Amino acid sequence: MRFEESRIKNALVVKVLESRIVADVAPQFKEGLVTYVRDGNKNIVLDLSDVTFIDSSGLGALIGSLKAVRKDGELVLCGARDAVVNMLKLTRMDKVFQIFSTPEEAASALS
Amino acid sequence: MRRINLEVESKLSHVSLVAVAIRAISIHAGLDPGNASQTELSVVEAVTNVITHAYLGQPDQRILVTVSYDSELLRFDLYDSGKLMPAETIDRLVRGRGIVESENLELASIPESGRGLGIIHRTMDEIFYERDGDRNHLQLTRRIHQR
Repeated sequence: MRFEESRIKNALVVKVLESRIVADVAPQFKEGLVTYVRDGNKNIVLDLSDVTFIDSSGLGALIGSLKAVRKDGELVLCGARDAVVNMLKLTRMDKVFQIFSTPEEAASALS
Repeated sequence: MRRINLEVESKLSHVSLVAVAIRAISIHAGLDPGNASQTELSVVEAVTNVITHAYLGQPDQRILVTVSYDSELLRFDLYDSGKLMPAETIDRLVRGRGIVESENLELASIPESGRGLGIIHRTMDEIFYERDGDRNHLQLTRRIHQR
Protein backbone atom coordinates (compact mmCIF):
# COMPACT_ATOMS: atom_id res chain seq x y z
CA MET A 1 0.00 0.00 0.00
CA ARG A 2 1.52 3.29 -1.11
CA PHE A 3 0.87 6.63 0.53
CA GLU A 4 2.13 10.14 -0.16
CA GLU A 5 2.47 12.50 2.79
CA SER A 6 2.32 16.28 3.00
CA ARG A 7 1.40 18.88 5.59
CA ILE A 8 -1.22 21.60 5.51
CA LYS A 9 -1.40 23.74 8.66
CA ASN A 10 -1.32 21.28 11.56
CA ALA A 11 -2.73 18.36 9.60
CA LEU A 12 -0.94 15.45 8.04
CA VAL A 13 -2.35 14.86 4.58
CA VAL A 14 -2.08 11.23 3.53
CA LYS A 15 -2.85 10.59 -0.11
CA VAL A 16 -3.65 7.01 -1.03
CA LEU A 17 -1.73 6.12 -4.18
CA GLU A 18 -3.76 3.02 -4.98
CA SER A 19 -6.90 2.91 -7.07
CA ARG A 20 -8.58 0.09 -5.16
CA ILE A 21 -8.93 -0.47 -1.42
CA VAL A 22 -10.13 -4.07 -1.30
CA ALA A 23 -9.72 -7.27 0.69
CA ASP A 24 -6.17 -8.14 -0.36
CA VAL A 25 -4.75 -4.74 0.62
CA ALA A 26 -7.14 -3.72 3.42
CA PRO A 27 -4.87 -5.00 6.26
CA GLN A 28 -1.87 -3.06 4.93
CA PHE A 29 -4.06 0.00 4.41
CA LYS A 30 -5.20 -0.04 8.04
CA GLU A 31 -1.71 -0.80 9.33
CA GLY A 32 -0.31 2.12 7.37
CA LEU A 33 -2.85 4.55 8.78
CA VAL A 34 -2.51 3.25 12.32
CA THR A 35 1.25 3.71 12.05
CA TYR A 36 0.71 7.43 11.37
CA VAL A 37 -1.34 7.57 14.57
CA ARG A 38 1.32 5.69 16.54
CA ASP A 39 3.87 8.18 15.26
CA GLY A 40 1.95 10.92 17.03
CA ASN A 41 -0.12 12.40 14.20
CA LYS A 42 -3.41 13.56 15.68
CA ASN A 43 -4.98 15.40 12.74
CA ILE A 44 -5.05 13.31 9.61
CA VAL A 45 -6.60 14.15 6.26
CA LEU A 46 -7.01 11.08 4.08
CA ASP A 47 -6.95 12.07 0.42
CA LEU A 48 -8.92 9.49 -1.57
CA SER A 49 -8.82 11.28 -4.91
CA ASP A 50 -6.93 8.43 -6.60
CA VAL A 51 -9.24 5.75 -5.20
CA THR A 52 -11.82 4.54 -7.72
CA PHE A 53 -13.19 1.58 -5.78
CA ILE A 54 -13.57 0.44 -2.18
CA ASP A 55 -15.21 -2.77 -0.95
CA SER A 56 -16.51 -3.72 2.49
CA SER A 57 -13.05 -4.89 3.61
CA GLY A 58 -11.58 -1.53 2.67
CA LEU A 59 -14.41 0.25 4.42
CA GLY A 60 -13.80 -1.87 7.51
CA ALA A 61 -10.15 -0.85 7.47
CA LEU A 62 -11.21 2.78 7.18
CA ILE A 63 -13.53 2.41 10.18
CA GLY A 64 -10.79 0.69 12.17
CA SER A 65 -8.39 3.50 11.35
CA LEU A 66 -10.93 6.11 12.43
CA LYS A 67 -11.35 4.29 15.74
CA ALA A 68 -7.59 4.32 16.26
CA VAL A 69 -7.30 8.04 15.49
CA ARG A 70 -10.33 9.18 17.48
CA LYS A 71 -8.77 8.08 20.76
CA ASP A 72 -6.70 11.22 20.64
CA GLY A 73 -7.30 12.99 17.36
CA GLU A 74 -9.34 13.12 14.17
CA LEU A 75 -9.31 11.65 10.70
CA VAL A 76 -11.30 13.22 7.88
CA LEU A 77 -11.67 12.35 4.21
CA CYS A 78 -11.27 14.42 1.08
CA GLY A 79 -11.43 13.97 -2.66
CA ALA A 80 -13.70 10.95 -2.53
CA ARG A 81 -15.00 9.94 -5.95
CA ASP A 82 -18.58 8.90 -6.66
CA ALA A 83 -18.01 5.17 -6.16
CA VAL A 84 -16.45 5.78 -2.74
CA VAL A 85 -19.12 8.28 -1.68
CA ASN A 86 -21.83 5.89 -2.83
CA MET A 87 -20.30 3.10 -0.76
CA LEU A 88 -20.26 5.36 2.29
CA LYS A 89 -23.91 6.28 1.70
CA LEU A 90 -24.96 2.69 1.05
CA THR A 91 -23.60 1.69 4.46
CA ARG A 92 -24.58 4.96 6.21
CA MET A 93 -20.93 5.65 6.96
CA ASP A 94 -21.36 9.05 5.34
CA LYS A 95 -22.88 9.96 8.72
CA VAL A 96 -19.73 8.86 10.53
CA PHE A 97 -16.94 10.27 8.38
CA GLN A 98 -16.43 13.95 7.68
CA ILE A 99 -15.98 14.33 3.93
CA PHE A 100 -14.46 17.39 2.24
CA SER A 101 -13.78 18.28 -1.36
CA THR A 102 -10.12 19.27 -1.07
CA PRO A 103 -7.20 18.69 1.30
CA GLU A 104 -7.16 22.41 2.08
CA GLU A 105 -10.82 22.42 3.18
CA ALA A 106 -10.26 19.30 5.23
CA ALA A 107 -7.15 20.69 6.93
CA SER A 108 -8.95 23.95 7.73
CA ALA A 109 -11.71 22.01 9.42
CA LEU A 110 -9.13 20.35 11.64
CA SER A 111 -7.28 23.50 12.62
CA MET B 1 -29.00 -13.66 -23.88
CA ARG B 2 -25.40 -12.75 -24.48
CA ARG B 3 -23.04 -14.65 -22.23
CA ILE B 4 -19.39 -14.74 -21.16
CA ASN B 5 -17.60 -16.99 -18.69
CA LEU B 6 -14.92 -15.61 -16.39
CA GLU B 7 -12.85 -18.05 -14.38
CA VAL B 8 -10.57 -16.89 -11.63
CA GLU B 9 -8.30 -18.52 -9.07
CA SER B 10 -9.38 -18.24 -5.45
CA LYS B 11 -6.86 -15.53 -4.57
CA LEU B 12 -7.90 -12.18 -3.15
CA SER B 13 -5.32 -10.51 -5.35
CA HIS B 14 -7.18 -11.81 -8.42
CA VAL B 15 -10.62 -10.47 -7.49
CA SER B 16 -9.88 -7.15 -9.15
CA LEU B 17 -9.53 -8.95 -12.51
CA VAL B 18 -13.14 -10.06 -12.25
CA ALA B 19 -14.19 -6.67 -10.93
CA VAL B 20 -12.93 -4.62 -13.85
CA ALA B 21 -14.51 -7.06 -16.30
CA ILE B 22 -17.84 -6.91 -14.47
CA ARG B 23 -17.81 -3.12 -14.53
CA ALA B 24 -17.01 -2.96 -18.24
CA ILE B 25 -19.65 -5.55 -19.15
CA SER B 26 -22.24 -3.81 -16.95
CA ILE B 27 -21.73 -0.53 -18.79
CA HIS B 28 -21.73 -2.34 -22.13
CA ALA B 29 -25.05 -3.95 -21.15
CA GLY B 30 -26.64 -0.57 -20.47
CA LEU B 31 -26.04 0.36 -16.84
CA ASP B 32 -24.86 3.87 -16.08
CA PRO B 33 -21.48 4.18 -14.33
CA GLY B 34 -23.05 4.55 -10.88
CA ASN B 35 -25.10 1.40 -11.19
CA ALA B 36 -22.19 -0.41 -12.82
CA SER B 37 -20.16 0.39 -9.70
CA GLN B 38 -22.87 -1.28 -7.65
CA THR B 39 -22.83 -4.49 -9.70
CA GLU B 40 -19.03 -4.46 -9.55
CA LEU B 41 -19.22 -4.06 -5.77
CA SER B 42 -21.75 -6.87 -5.37
CA VAL B 43 -19.74 -9.35 -7.41
CA VAL B 44 -16.53 -8.37 -5.61
CA GLU B 45 -18.24 -9.01 -2.27
CA ALA B 46 -19.62 -12.34 -3.50
CA VAL B 47 -16.30 -13.57 -4.91
CA THR B 48 -14.44 -12.43 -1.80
CA ASN B 49 -16.93 -14.36 0.33
CA VAL B 50 -16.32 -17.48 -1.76
CA ILE B 51 -12.57 -17.20 -1.25
CA THR B 52 -12.70 -16.50 2.47
CA HIS B 53 -15.72 -18.56 3.57
CA ALA B 54 -16.32 -21.31 0.98
CA TYR B 55 -12.67 -22.04 0.19
CA LEU B 56 -11.36 -20.87 3.59
CA GLY B 57 -8.57 -18.96 1.89
CA GLN B 58 -7.21 -21.89 -0.15
CA PRO B 59 -5.57 -20.19 -3.13
CA ASP B 60 -5.59 -23.01 -5.70
CA GLN B 61 -9.35 -23.35 -6.22
CA ARG B 62 -11.53 -22.10 -9.07
CA ILE B 63 -14.43 -19.70 -9.20
CA LEU B 64 -16.56 -19.43 -12.33
CA VAL B 65 -18.53 -16.26 -12.95
CA THR B 66 -20.94 -16.44 -15.88
CA VAL B 67 -22.22 -13.05 -16.95
CA SER B 68 -25.29 -12.90 -19.15
CA TYR B 69 -27.51 -10.05 -20.22
CA ASP B 70 -30.27 -8.94 -22.51
CA SER B 71 -32.13 -5.65 -22.85
CA GLU B 72 -33.94 -6.17 -19.54
CA LEU B 73 -31.48 -7.63 -17.09
CA LEU B 74 -27.92 -8.40 -16.19
CA ARG B 75 -27.20 -11.68 -14.45
CA PHE B 76 -24.15 -13.06 -12.65
CA ASP B 77 -23.95 -16.78 -11.89
CA LEU B 78 -21.14 -17.67 -9.51
CA TYR B 79 -20.05 -21.30 -9.11
CA ASP B 80 -17.55 -22.71 -6.65
CA SER B 81 -16.76 -26.09 -5.13
CA GLY B 82 -16.20 -24.88 -1.61
CA LYS B 83 -18.11 -25.34 1.61
CA LEU B 84 -21.88 -25.23 1.63
CA MET B 85 -23.22 -21.79 2.44
CA PRO B 86 -24.66 -21.90 6.00
CA ALA B 87 -28.45 -21.56 6.32
CA GLU B 88 -28.09 -18.38 8.37
CA THR B 89 -25.97 -16.81 5.65
CA ILE B 90 -28.51 -17.77 2.99
CA ASP B 91 -31.25 -16.17 5.10
CA ARG B 92 -29.28 -12.96 5.36
CA LEU B 93 -28.19 -12.84 1.74
CA VAL B 94 -31.34 -14.00 -0.07
CA ARG B 95 -34.08 -12.90 2.33
CA GLY B 96 -32.34 -10.00 4.01
CA ARG B 97 -32.99 -11.36 7.50
CA GLY B 98 -30.85 -9.65 10.07
CA ILE B 99 -29.46 -7.16 7.58
CA VAL B 100 -30.34 -3.91 9.23
CA GLU B 101 -27.72 -1.22 9.54
CA SER B 102 -27.73 -0.12 13.15
CA GLU B 103 -29.30 3.23 13.90
CA ASN B 104 -26.57 3.67 16.49
CA LEU B 105 -23.76 5.49 14.72
CA GLU B 106 -21.59 5.81 17.80
CA LEU B 107 -18.16 4.89 16.49
CA ALA B 108 -17.31 2.36 19.20
CA SER B 109 -20.39 0.31 18.33
CA ILE B 110 -19.82 0.25 14.57
CA PRO B 111 -18.41 -3.09 13.39
CA GLU B 112 -15.42 -3.23 11.06
CA SER B 113 -16.69 -6.27 9.15
CA GLY B 114 -19.86 -8.10 8.16
CA ARG B 115 -21.26 -5.70 5.56
CA GLY B 116 -20.74 -7.74 2.40
CA LEU B 117 -24.02 -9.66 2.48
CA GLY B 118 -26.01 -6.50 3.15
CA ILE B 119 -24.35 -4.73 0.25
CA ILE B 120 -25.25 -7.55 -2.13
CA HIS B 121 -28.80 -7.71 -0.80
CA ARG B 122 -29.35 -3.98 -1.24
CA THR B 123 -27.79 -3.59 -4.66
CA MET B 124 -29.18 -6.60 -6.54
CA ASP B 125 -32.81 -7.05 -7.58
CA GLU B 126 -32.93 -10.84 -7.31
CA ILE B 127 -30.72 -13.27 -5.40
CA PHE B 128 -30.88 -17.03 -5.69
CA TYR B 129 -28.70 -19.69 -4.07
CA GLU B 130 -28.59 -23.43 -4.48
CA ARG B 131 -26.25 -26.26 -3.66
CA ASP B 132 -25.90 -28.06 -6.98
CA GLY B 133 -24.17 -31.38 -6.31
CA ASP B 134 -20.82 -30.46 -4.82
CA ARG B 135 -21.02 -26.89 -6.10
CA ASN B 136 -22.39 -23.67 -4.73
CA HIS B 137 -24.38 -21.66 -7.24
CA LEU B 138 -25.19 -18.04 -6.42
CA GLN B 139 -27.21 -16.07 -8.94
CA LEU B 140 -27.36 -12.29 -8.74
CA THR B 141 -29.69 -10.39 -11.07
CA ARG B 142 -29.88 -6.68 -11.71
CA ARG B 143 -32.60 -5.12 -13.84
CA ILE B 144 -31.13 -2.66 -16.29
CA HIS B 145 -33.72 0.07 -16.65
CA GLN B 146 -36.04 -0.08 -13.65
CA ARG B 147 -34.00 1.78 -11.01
